[in-house]
This record gives sequence, structure tokens and C-alpha cells, in this order.
Amino acid sequence: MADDNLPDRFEAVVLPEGVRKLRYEPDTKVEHCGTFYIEREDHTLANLIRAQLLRDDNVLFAAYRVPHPLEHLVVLRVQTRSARYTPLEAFCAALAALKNEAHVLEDELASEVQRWAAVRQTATSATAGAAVGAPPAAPR
Amino acid sequence: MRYCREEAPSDRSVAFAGYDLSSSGRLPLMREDYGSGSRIATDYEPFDGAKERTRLWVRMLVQTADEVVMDVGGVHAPVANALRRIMLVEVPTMAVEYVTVHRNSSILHDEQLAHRLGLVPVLADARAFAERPPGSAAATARDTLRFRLRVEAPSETTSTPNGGRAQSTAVYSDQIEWVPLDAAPQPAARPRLMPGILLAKLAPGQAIDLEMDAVKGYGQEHAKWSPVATAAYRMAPRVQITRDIIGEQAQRLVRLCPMHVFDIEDGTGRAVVRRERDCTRCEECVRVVRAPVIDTADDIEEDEGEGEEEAMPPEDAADTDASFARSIRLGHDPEHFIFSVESTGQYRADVIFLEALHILKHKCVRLLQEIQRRPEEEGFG
Ligand code: SF4
Repeated sequence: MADDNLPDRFEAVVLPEGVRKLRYEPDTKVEHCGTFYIEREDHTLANLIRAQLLRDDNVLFAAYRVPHPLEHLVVLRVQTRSARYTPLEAFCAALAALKNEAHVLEDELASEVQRWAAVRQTATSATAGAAVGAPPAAPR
Repeated sequence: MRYCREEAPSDRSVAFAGYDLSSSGRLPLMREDYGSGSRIATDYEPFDGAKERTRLWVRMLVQTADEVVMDVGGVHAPVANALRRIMLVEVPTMAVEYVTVHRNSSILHDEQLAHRLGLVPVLADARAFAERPPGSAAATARDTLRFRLRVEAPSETTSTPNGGRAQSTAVYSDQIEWVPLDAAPQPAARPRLMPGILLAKLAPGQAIDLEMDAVKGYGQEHAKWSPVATAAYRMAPRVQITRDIIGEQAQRLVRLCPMHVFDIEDGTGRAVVRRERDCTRCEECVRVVRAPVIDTADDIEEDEGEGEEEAMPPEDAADTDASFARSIRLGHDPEHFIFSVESTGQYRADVIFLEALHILKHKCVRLLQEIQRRPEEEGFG
């Protein structure tokens, strides 16, 4: 068949049996430096983590690459400034910060949705929907 | 290999194409995820919720069922970009994946018809479904929505009201019917496909009879699973008038801007920035118009026939008729993004954004859990 070597479509999404989502290998030559291998992720997350790591003053180097476009793997290399703060800790801190950011944004959006629902309700009860679609007053 | 995304993002209750705040499946914050005894947790800067909340803000400006425009502030470009990418390809939806053709005498090939059906939005909340294993696995109500399309065009001999000549028959997605898969209780709202979409046209006597299974999937696999028509952001523009522009010049500026960003202040006649958001940064207002060079010397070179060159006003000069380049500063706010998201119908547009945030959070949690689960193991030195 012509498409014999066509990769399965779900390969980008599904973690194969026995493959670790995340691997970390400390560098053997450079101090407080290591490489993370993240399976089934792409630029979406890798670039985000990289940017977050670079905002950390204790991180000296952070960069990622996608070794092959058909392998759904990203490789992230991190070097910190001192042995007291390992790349693994920096990685965790970055993830935690991103997670918190997403969490706060989720809350903010949820309350914004509720604010709109309230505005809609007053609009419909007052003028039978005439004001629907008009932005409510800015909260800040 | 199991066909199942191992990070199923939710255990939320079913809301049919709807929206339920209580079911957004919030996760505890970082500090609660990791006990204080954890080596990793102790080194974090304590999460200051109040501080984060002043930094980050969201304001929705347009909200309809299938479109939202919102301002997201305090985030950096990689976050905005990650959210955009997640909305495009990582928010799951249902789409027709398997089509069994019993009969198709229409002009469309089976494959073509199947492809068209795949692209019709299935109005159901995919978060309530599980992934269906590929291949031979039997469909269940948990992972599949089955639909049936049966149409037959009246044959040529059938007389038509307008004088005998048989017409072609249009087949619309409204004619597709949901087939309950097992004895599961029927939901209040019947699952359906987006109505009003033309699928095929039948000549007299032609017929289509097919069954289709819609399954859960991700835009990463095929664009038919993408929940958005558009998910885009731009940085908020900043337009500043650094030097007063008054009178005639102000009026010229107002006319110059194609987006009507500027206005004239009553009384003073000063130009002011009125609709900053509308600025597209076309730079028309700061464009240096090529003014003809005033030839004073007779022996001026005829530059390959070009009788003009760029005339830049000197540094400290007031604006010439040619440009407002020295009075207007154009820029953008790198931490203020204007998102516009258009849904293809499966979810409300704001739900898609919320879902993207949820998925992003899960990605981070997933990796953190991976580390926490085996920090002592080899490979996590
Ligand atoms: S760049 Fe200047 S002219 Fe163009 S839209 Fe913005 S304000 Fe108007």
C-alpha cells in the first residue's frame, strides 16, 4: 500500500505503552545542568516552559528542540546558576508558576462569564434583550 | 497500543453543549498538591494568589454563543500563544469518523460524501465522552454517537407541481437522525449535527442511505475535530500623542487615520486619541510622505529620472505637512492581548477558552505529578 509507512494519526496524542511521559538526565560534563525529555508534547508547552524558565534569575540557560517532526518529543536543556538550585527544581518551579497562572486566568474568566450573565439578565428583564451584546461596564 | 489519551482532562458532569461553572473541575493549587515535606515544594516562592490576581486579568468585550472577544492582561506572549495553539488543536470535540454506506447512487463518491460528513460539526459536548479504540472495537454509547441519513429523491415519473419537469433534491444535514446506541436513558436534548449544511444534491431517483459514527478526537489528528473557526490574538495597540497637534493639522490627522482612532477635543481643537483599540498599526499617521525636492541648483543630478527623494524633517523641527512622525508614538502593550475566538458550534466560544486554560493547567500538573511520583528513581537525580 502506498501509505504503508504513514504514521497513525493518533501517534501525536497517545503515549505508547511503557514510554515515560517525562525523563530527566543530569548532564555528566556540565555542572547543575540537565536535559528533560517530554513525550507527546510540542512547541505549545515546550516554548512556554522555556520562556518561564528564562524569567527565573537562577536559570542560566534554557532552550528546547524538537529532534524530529515525526517523533512527538521535545528535548529541553536547562542549566542553573548554582548547585543549590537544580534544573529539576527550576523546572518544577516553572511548571508551578504556569499552572498557577492558568488557574488564576480560569477564575478571572469564570467571574467574567458570570458578570456577563448578570448583565444579560438585567438587560432582558428591563428591555427584553435590547442591550444584549453591548459590553458591560469595565471592572477596572 | 491503546487508543486513549492518557491525560483525560476531566471527570466533569455532562453538560450538553452547555456550560456549568460548578463542573469546571478545578484542581487544588500547587501548595496543596505537594505536602510541605516534599523536597521540591519547600523551595518554591510561596504562591501569592492576591498578587497574581492583580497582575492577571481578563475582560470579555463581546460574548455571543459562537464568538468572544476578550482582553487578557498580564500574560506573556508564550502563554497567549500556547492558549491559542491549545484552542486550535487540543480541545476535544466529536466528529464523524466512521461512515457505513449502505447505498449511494448520488453523484458524490462515497469517500467524498464521508469527508463532507466529517466536517459537519456535531453538536455534542465531547467532554462527556470517552475515546473510542480504533479498528474493530464495538461502539458504545460512552464513546460514540451514531447517526443515520436516509434520503431518496422522487423518481422522474413523479409529477411535480410546476409542470412535470423533475427537480434535483437537496440533502441537508437537518435530515440526519440520531440513532440511540443502547438502552441508555435518552438525553433531554437529542444529539444532532449542525443544521442547514448542504451535503449533496440528488437527481430524480437517486438515493443515499448511510450510517455514521461520531467519535471524540483532537484537532491534532484532523482539523474536523478543531472546535474553533478562528482563535487568534493580537497585542493591544498603544497610540500616544507626544506633542500637541492642533487646528488644521489636527483635522488632517483625523482624516488621515483609516480606523478613526483620533478625534478633536471640543474647545481646544487638540487632536486626542479616542479609539486606541481600533488602531491596526498601519502607520499611515506616521508615514513620511515623499515630498518633491525643491530644486534650487540647476545642476542637480537627475537621479535616474527620479525627481524626488525622501524628505525627513530635521530632528527638532515641528511636524511638516508631510508627517506626524515626531508627534505620535505608536507601539503595543506586550502584556495585553486581544483574543478573538469563534466557535464552530460544539461549544460556546468562552467555554473553549476556559477549556484551553484547563488543559494547559493539566499539562503542567501531569508533568509535576510525573516528577513527584518517582523523584528517587533513576533518571530523576
Ligand atoms: S497606525 Fe495611525 S493611522 Fe494607522 S490605524 Fe493606527 S492610529 Fe490610525
